[in-house]
Amino acid sequence: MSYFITVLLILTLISSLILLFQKNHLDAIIAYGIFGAVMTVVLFVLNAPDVAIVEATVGSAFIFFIYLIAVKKVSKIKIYYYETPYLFENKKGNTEGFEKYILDEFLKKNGFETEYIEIKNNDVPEDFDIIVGGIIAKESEKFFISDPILPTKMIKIGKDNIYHISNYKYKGISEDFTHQENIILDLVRLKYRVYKKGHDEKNEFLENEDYRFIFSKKNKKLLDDFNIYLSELKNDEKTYNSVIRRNIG
Amino acid sequence: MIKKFFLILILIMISFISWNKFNLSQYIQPYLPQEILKDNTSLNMVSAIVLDYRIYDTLFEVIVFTVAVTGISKYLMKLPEYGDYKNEKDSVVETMIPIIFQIIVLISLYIAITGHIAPGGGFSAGVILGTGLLGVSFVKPMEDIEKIFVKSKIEKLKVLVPFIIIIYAISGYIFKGVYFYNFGFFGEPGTLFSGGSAIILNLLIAFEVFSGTWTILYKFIKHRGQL
Repeated sequence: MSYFITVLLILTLISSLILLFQKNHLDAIIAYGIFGAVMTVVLFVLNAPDVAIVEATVGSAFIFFIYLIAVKKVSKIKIYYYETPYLFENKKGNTEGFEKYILDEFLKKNGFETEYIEIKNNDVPEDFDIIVGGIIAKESEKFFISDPILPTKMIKIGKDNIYHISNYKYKGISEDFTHQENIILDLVRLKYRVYKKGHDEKNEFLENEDYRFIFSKKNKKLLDDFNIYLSELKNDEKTYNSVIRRNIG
Repeated sequence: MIKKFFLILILIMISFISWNKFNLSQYIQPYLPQEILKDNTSLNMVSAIVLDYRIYDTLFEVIVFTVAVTGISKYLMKLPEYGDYKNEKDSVVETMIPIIFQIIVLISLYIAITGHIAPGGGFSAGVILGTGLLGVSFVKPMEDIEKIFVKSKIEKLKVLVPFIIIIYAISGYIFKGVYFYNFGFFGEPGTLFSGGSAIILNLLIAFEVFSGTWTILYKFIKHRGQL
């Protein structure tokens, strides 16, 4: 009998350690459920059936369900994206790119489910959680902006700029930017333009900018988490540079 | 990582200390179990202690629980509601839950009523019933549950339970001169009508805990994803 109890107590120790080292919310909840179940058996074996019943109902059912309800819906994140070369582009049915990689790593780490929706015609969505895709945005009352993801430059081509610089604050550029004669562009789109046209054009440097993500006002926590993740990523320069090299070149 | 390491270190140290120092057999129980059985006539000694000898603990536990649940519902009221709630249809769940729910209600009532004979008691009975109702929320549309919740006035009724227990305490003082005087059934130990006023108190606590857990779950479903 005492061996049985020892085994059970070691099991509780193991299950609580497993619980401690979970990174995903859902995994942690399931680990908590396992811990509750083991604890129920321990209490039952140790002649405390009353407490065992309470542990079974509260520990492995009630708390389990409450957290499941709370986490389940938080985890679905709606992401709108502007298709942008090298950062967030559609390739053979998949979306790839630098921003996509960062976003996926971040969401996977925090255990979120995702829903990607492409923005066409520059419609500004209402119910977004995150908007991505080569966005150069300034602080606004409507949304939060993240810390800079990647530095860039604004560059003018041609004489007159039909797109004034203020036009693409917050708006991504989903219009055709490869054939317009007079335009202001950022570095990534310029690179794509040069690649498409096959030759350099005369251009003029305007100002330094950063690519950022846009976060919903409702979800401050998500923004904070993302900024923490971003600073961790930037500290690890080797990985950060390799991701840039792999996606942008 | 350092935090976790220290936590584990402290845990190991505590377990080592308790390994050497704790010797439970040196604490001698001055009040014998036979005396409890004779006094209180409830076969489940935990119930006798919780609902008779240490009833002040139970009273304040119930009050704390009530205050906590009131706080939760008050706090969550400010949050926006989760709008387009959709039940995902699943034939197994839809068929089984109406059947299982009735069994759950029976089990919960049984545990509450026989709390002084067999293991169980008010708290676990209430949680079982409250969690069972969660299953119903998977099957029924949210509006129906909301209608039941508002119509039954359960949110207001549950606040009365601590008052009823306090009235029970004061009535003991008025009639017999002692707070929480146990004027219940003192039958043969093991029969239903034994264990003093354990049945009444267990049912009261079960109702309290059931309404509390249901309120928590209902509010969590209503404002899901907003925390």
